[in-house]
Amino acid sequence: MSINRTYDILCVSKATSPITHNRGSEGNETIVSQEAVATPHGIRWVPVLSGNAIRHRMIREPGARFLVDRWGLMGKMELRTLQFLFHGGSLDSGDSNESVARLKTWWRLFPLIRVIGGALPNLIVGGSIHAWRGIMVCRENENRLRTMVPADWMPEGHLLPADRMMGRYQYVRQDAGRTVPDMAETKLMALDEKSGQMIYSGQCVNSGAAFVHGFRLRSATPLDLGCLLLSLGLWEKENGTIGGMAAKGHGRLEMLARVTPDADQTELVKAYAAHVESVKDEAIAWLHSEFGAPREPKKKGKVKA
Amino acid sequence: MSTPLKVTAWLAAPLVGDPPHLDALCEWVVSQYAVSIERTLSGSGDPLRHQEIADCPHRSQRAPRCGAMPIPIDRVKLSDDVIVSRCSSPLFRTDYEYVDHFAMRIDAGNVGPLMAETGPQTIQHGSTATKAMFRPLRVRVVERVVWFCVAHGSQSGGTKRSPQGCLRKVLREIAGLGKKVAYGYGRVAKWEVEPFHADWSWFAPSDAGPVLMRALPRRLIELPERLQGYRESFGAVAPPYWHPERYMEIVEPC
Repeated sequence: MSINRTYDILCVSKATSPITHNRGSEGNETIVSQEAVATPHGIRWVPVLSGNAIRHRMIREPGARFLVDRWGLMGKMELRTLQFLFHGGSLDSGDSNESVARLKTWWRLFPLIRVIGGALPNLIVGGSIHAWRGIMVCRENENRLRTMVPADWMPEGHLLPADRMMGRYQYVRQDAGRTVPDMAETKLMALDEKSGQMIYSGQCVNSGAAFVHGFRLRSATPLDLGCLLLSLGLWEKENGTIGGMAAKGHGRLEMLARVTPDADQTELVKAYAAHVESVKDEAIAWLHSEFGAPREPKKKGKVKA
Repeated sequence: MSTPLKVTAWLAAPLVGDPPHLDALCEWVVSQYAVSIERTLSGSGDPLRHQEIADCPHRSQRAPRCGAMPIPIDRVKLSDDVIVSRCSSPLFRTDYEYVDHFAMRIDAGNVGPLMAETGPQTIQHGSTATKAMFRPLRVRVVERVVWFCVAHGSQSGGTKRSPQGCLRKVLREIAGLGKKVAYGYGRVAKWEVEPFHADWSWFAPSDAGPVLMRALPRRLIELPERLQGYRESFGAVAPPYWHPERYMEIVEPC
C-alpha cells in the first residue's frame, strides 16, 4: 500500500533571457503581468508569474507530451482527448455523474491528472497540487520572501526595487517588398507603395531577475511526486520557458529546486516511467472509451456522374 | 483546559474569494487524517467510504452530523442538531482590490501535430469542449486574516499537547485560503497562534455595546442588549457552511 503524504517543492528561477509573461496591452505596447503588493510605503505593482501558467508550462504540458510519446499516440488522438490531456478537459455533458469506479481507474492510469486535476465530459475532479505564483525577488516582496525561503537562500545585502528589473523590448516586422524586392513577380511596387513595416514593443522583466515559486502536493503518493519531478525535468531539458515570445528567445528560466521531505528523485522518476509503460494498453483503451477512438478514414466511393 | 486564542494567517499572495471559517478549515484537515487512518486500518481503498468520513458530501447527500469531526476548537450545543464552534468569522482588511484574469485556450499549432487526421480538423474557440476562456477574478490584497477562538488541548498516551500546539498541528496542513489556491492565490506564508486575553469568539466588546463576531442561530440564542454590527439573514452556523441542510435563520456580522 502506498503512503500518502504532503510534499513541498521550493524553486528559485533566474531569468536568462527577457521575460514577457504578459497580461495584455495598452495601445500597441504589451504590459507584463503584475500584482499589487502592500508595502510599508503603500501599494506597489510588481511583476509576477501566474501559478496557472507555471502549472501548465512546467507540469501539464511536458507531462502530457511524455504520455503521448511513450504510448505512441502522436497523430492518433481526437481533439477531445487532447483537450483532456493538455488542458484538463471540459465538463460539457448534461448528465453529470460521479462514478467512483471511473475515478479509481482514472487515478490509477493517470497520476498526471491526479496531480493537476481535470474533467471528463461528465465528471470533474480537482488535483492535489498547489502551484505557487512566481514571486519576484525584489525589495517590495522582501517580507513575503523571508517567510517562504530558507535564510541561506536569501541574497545578501539590499534587494533591488522591482522597477530596476523592468525593461523594454522592441522588434520590427519587415516588409518583404523592401527587403527582397528582387524576388517579387513585378518589381513594382515596392518603393511606390506604403511600407508594411511594423514596429512593436512592450515591457519585459530583464534577464537576471529571479523568481521564487514552488508546488505543494497534498496527500500524494511517491508515484505522484515522480510524475511531477519527471515533468519538471522534461521542462528544464527542453529549454524551459515561461510567458510569450519563446520563439524569439524570451522567457528562459534556470531553475533550482528543493524537495521536502527529501526523496530519491531518480528512483521516483524511474518508478513513474515504469508505471506509465505498465498501463499503456489499458490507458489507451480507457482514453478511447471515454473520448472515442479515432475514426477510420472514409473509403472513397464511386462518384456518380 | 480551554484557552482563548488569536489565530493569524499571514498571506504571501493576493486573496481570491473569501477566507473560510476556522472550524471548517479544522474539520477539513481532521477529515483528511480520518481518511488516512481508515485506509490504513481497513485497507479498503474505497473512495465512497472515504468521502463519507471526509465529511464532504455531495450537495444531494445528507449533511454529516453536526460536530462529528473532532477539532481542537470548543463547541457549544444549542440544540440536538445545532452545535456552534467558539470561533469568530474571519477578520481581514483589504488594502487594495483589482481584477485579474485566468485564461485557457487550446492552441492549434501546439496540438495540431498530435491530432488524428480522421477526426474534426477545426478547433472551435467559441463553443463546445474546446471553448477558450478568459475569466475575471476579483483579487484582494490582504496582509493577514485573523480569527478569535477558544481551543482545548489534548492528551494521548503520555503526551500532552497545549491548545496552541493542537491548533498549530492542524493548521500547518492548510497552505492556501480562498479560491484558486491551485494557481497560488491566497497562499499562507505563516500561521501564528497566540494566547489572547479574552474570549472574542462570539462577541467582542466595544464602547457602543458588544459586537457580533460570527453567525449564530437567531432562534436558539438570546442576543445581548445593545448588540452592534449584525443583520438577520438565512445561512449556516456550522460546517459544511455551504450545505443547504445547514441553513436556518441566523444573525451574522455585517
